Amino acid sequence: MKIHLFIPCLVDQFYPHVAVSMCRVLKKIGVEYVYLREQTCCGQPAFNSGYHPEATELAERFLRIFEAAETIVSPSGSCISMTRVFYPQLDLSLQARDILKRLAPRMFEFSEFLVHEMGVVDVGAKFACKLTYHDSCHLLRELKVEDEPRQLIRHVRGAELVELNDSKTCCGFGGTFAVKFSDISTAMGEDKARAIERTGARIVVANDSSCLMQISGVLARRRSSVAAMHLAELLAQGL
Amino acid sequence: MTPTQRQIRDTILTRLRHFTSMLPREEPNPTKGSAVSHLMSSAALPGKIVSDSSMAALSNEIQRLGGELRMVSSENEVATELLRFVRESGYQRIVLSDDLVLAKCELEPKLRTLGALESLITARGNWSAAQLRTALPDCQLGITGCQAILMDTATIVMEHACFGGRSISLLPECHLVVATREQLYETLDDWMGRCEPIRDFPSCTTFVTGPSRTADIEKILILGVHGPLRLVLLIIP
Amino acid sequence: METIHFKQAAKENLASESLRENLHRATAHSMKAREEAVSLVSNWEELRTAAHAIKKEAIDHLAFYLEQFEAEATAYGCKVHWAETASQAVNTVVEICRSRSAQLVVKAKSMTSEEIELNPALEPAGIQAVETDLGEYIIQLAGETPSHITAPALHKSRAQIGTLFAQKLGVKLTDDPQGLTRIARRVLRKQFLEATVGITGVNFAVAETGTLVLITNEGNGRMCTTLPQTHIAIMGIEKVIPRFADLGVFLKLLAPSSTGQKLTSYVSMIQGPRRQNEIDGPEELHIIILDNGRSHFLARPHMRESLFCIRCGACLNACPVYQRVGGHTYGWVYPGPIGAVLTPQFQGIERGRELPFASSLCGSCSEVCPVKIDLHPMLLKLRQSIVDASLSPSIERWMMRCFVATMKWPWLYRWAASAARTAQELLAEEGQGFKVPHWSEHRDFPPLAKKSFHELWEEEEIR
Repeated sequence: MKIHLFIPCLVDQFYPHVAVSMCRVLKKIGVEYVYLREQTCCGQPAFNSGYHPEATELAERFLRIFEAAETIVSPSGSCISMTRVFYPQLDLSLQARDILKRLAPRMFEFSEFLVHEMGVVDVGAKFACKLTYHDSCHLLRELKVEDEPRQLIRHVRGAELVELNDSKTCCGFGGTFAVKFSDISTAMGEDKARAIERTGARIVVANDSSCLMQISGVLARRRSSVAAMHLAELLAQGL
Repeated sequence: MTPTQRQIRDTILTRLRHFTSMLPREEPNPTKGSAVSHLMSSAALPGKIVSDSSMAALSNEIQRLGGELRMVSSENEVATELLRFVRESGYQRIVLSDDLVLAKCELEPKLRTLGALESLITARGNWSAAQLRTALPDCQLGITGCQAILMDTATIVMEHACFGGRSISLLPECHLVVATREQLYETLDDWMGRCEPIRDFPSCTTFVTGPSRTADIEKILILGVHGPLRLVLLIIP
Repeated sequence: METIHFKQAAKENLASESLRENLHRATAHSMKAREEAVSLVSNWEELRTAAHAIKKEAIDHLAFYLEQFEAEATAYGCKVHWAETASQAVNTVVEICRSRSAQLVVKAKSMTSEEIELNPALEPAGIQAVETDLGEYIIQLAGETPSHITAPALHKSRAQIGTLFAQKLGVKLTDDPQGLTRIARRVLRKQFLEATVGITGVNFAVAETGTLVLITNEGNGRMCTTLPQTHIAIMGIEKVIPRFADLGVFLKLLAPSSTGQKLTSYVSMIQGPRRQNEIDGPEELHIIILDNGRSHFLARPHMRESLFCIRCGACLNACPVYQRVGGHTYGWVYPGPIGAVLTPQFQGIERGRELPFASSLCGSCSEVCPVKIDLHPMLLKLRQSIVDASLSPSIERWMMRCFVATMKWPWLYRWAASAARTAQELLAEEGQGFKVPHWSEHRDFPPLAKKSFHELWEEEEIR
């Protein structure tokens, strides 16, 4: 199995170790991966802010770059939501539409790729820790991925998964919402941080770097003893 | 309709027609089965023996709602049970509807045997609408029949074209309903599938599900806001 | 009209600890109750789909069903009035009241009547309008507007309400909810009996049979439609449903969604005024069919479904933004996600320009909507309209252009990444990220990684 990596701009610039971890896991389960260096952004920030022509430009570019791909995997539920669920709503060229039609069913978020496409729930990871899990909104409500990350976490040797109260409540990032309505965003983030701390877990795991940026930002400001980790990082532990 | 009214009406309707014609659609066909006919459960025949589990569900539901359920085994016992209830509750100002079931149970003559009653308002008293309007707010107990009982939600279907009208089940602090087995339906769908066409109903029909309630203050449940505080269902099963 | 300053209002409301507490308690309670009630309905998703289809049928043929409703209702003796604007509706109500020499009017809860600003218009006409829904009564005494579609006084605590009653009604101070409710019952009962006109809204108007459906818990709706001689029912054009059989679907969805009940205490089905052989009920029933801009919603295919709303309030309770800032932040009568969708349509995108952006697009609203309205995609559409109308700040447009350019040209992307790292070294503390305005005041911002994934790949470390 050979896949194309789709690495979101946030991961590329701030959290490259998430992508590195994902590659290690893929290697472990025997998946070959290719990285097209021209990729930059799927256009979600423009789309969510109401700038459709700009989003369409970036979407066209994305689809052109990945034209020859057969399977795409990304460590981001929100980016895959953008390409799979929201690209069809853009005013794309006929050519881009054709590429999208073929590619859409082959674009996967990392955990759904492992569980559904590869049939793998145990990658052999080892990490002794009490963990909790936050459901990212796009992953949960657009891609309907809920159980898969939990299955993967439960198979990490030594990991103890504790359910988070209000795990499905938004962390408050919401793209530009985080700065446009920073007061509300912060309030949501702080409630999320408090809920995480109440679980007694040492680590909170999520599948989206935007959520992780928000949650870790709040936790760090609170000088919390809880750290945030991407699912890919967790699954790469002890490999 | 005044000329201005006609203009306004036509303006609105024309605009609606114009905008809705912009999308392809089929002609409205209101008589065809709606999107919901497949959702209607198969109707239980009235008069069918009602299962113990449905009765248990009804009992649980009424209690959960803060209402009360009393059962008697025959029409003869209704009056006895009712007198017991009135003595227990201390109600002295009662209004009695003219429902056939209530008449069959001979409630009026039996209630009159209660010496302590201050007032008993019935259809025989030849009350005018104005007189009733003055008297009813003072009544403590309103006794009525009903059109149907929907068991899964413990809902009483009240048709108000009776003596006491809409007010008898609304103004008194306690509303007591007498119902027979024939009036029991398993669900709302059963009733809707079996009842007379709604057109033939009176000017007002009410589904009553439990006592009046509010949670407007801090989401705390309080019974008896404007409508009855107590709701009692007396069934002859 | 001035823009609704959501951001500013949100900031103020977030700072109020008592409001935050009241809101949290009320919305958490409602969400839990809803979840329990929904779990008892085995075919919940089927019902939602059916409800959506029924509303679509009604809205797609709205003229037809409104005419049918008018004919049926008139046959029962109702007087049907049409109002294109709020002021026409208000004038009709005032005229009816004047012609009956009404001095006291009792009102059941009606968001539509708030929308047309009825109460402020009745006062100068010498007509006293008393709100009889407990929550509405409370805020009327307080001189406030409702902060929630179904629980208008949700933002108040019992102590606040107790003080209010003591001040305005001259009763002994208490904060016992039952005591307060008894007081309201006593005071309002007198009003019900004295009033000559009762004004209500309409939950559903059945076209096939001309039936008005009122869904309440307290009994005030029944009082308003039983005791006064005249009943005026104000309905938006979108309230109509095709058949009586359709009603069952909505009855099963509405109460669980709004209060977590299976059914509300009362569902009144009204067909015309009192009949000859009936002893009570209004002698006259006036129905005001109100447009007030709704017909224009139909011109926007992507927004049409906002007319499907059955005003349950579930989206408010589910919205993490509403849960923290409350209804008054939204600047008009309809708060929460549905408000963010309706207000820009009713009052224009200039006035409502902040509302669609005041959302993290989490999608909880769409998830709980009993009629399956795609609320959060509509917010995205509105954002697009606002940007297309050049209403977004010019600095934002400029930044977006820079962003797109950076993402389009790989050399520019690499240059920007490298420049940012240089800047970070100069400006940020060791191991820290930039101090980003509107972020770093309350949250740490991560530092850019020493090497991006692009660079790591190029160095063949991870191939």
